[in-house]
Amino acid sequence: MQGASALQNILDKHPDPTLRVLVVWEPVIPTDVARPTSGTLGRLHDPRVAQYWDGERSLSREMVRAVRADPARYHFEREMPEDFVVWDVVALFPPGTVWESDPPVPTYYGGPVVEVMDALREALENRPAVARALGDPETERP
Amino acid sequence: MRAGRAVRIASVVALLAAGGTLAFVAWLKLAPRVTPRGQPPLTSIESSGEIRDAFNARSETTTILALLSPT
Repeated sequence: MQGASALQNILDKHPDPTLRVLVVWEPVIPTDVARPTSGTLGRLHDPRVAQYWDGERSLSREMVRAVRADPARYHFEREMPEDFVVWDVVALFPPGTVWESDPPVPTYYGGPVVEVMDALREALENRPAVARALGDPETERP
Repeated sequence: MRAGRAVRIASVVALLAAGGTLAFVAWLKLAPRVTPRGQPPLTSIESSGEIRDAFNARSETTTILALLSPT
């Protein structure tokens, strides 16, 4: 839940109306026995946020499937276990990104959320620098 | 005598712990789920395709996608 509050702090500092956040809540730990309560949902109070409950972790499964099918596309060097659960992560996608058959490749991704806020802030403010960090050959040229 | 008292105390503690756990679970199950003003209602999804559709519905925006645990 700290991740949600940290994300709200980012939104507070970026009033850009063309920025939006899709938050997917999913059951991961034993106390996740139900959908998030109003108190939890209220941690992200920005109107640019849309919140979802994924009780079957279908998005996580789809991400794991896509990464396992093509790790290099997602900048993964090691094989992701089939039962891996993608959670407590954020991913940033630039305008014009379309999700086709597989999830798109983010400009930035990282977690735990509360620990990557500086990197996410940098990604929002300075996308070319982040692309370099991810090894984008187009931006590594001198 | 001391052993009997200890058993009684342990029983009371166990009952309180069980009751507290049940109350917590009941609260999690029954508590309201209202999103903040200006946001669409919380949407339960059945497949990742629903997130894909939401993602593509406003692809002209910069999008942050977050996967979080509610507790």
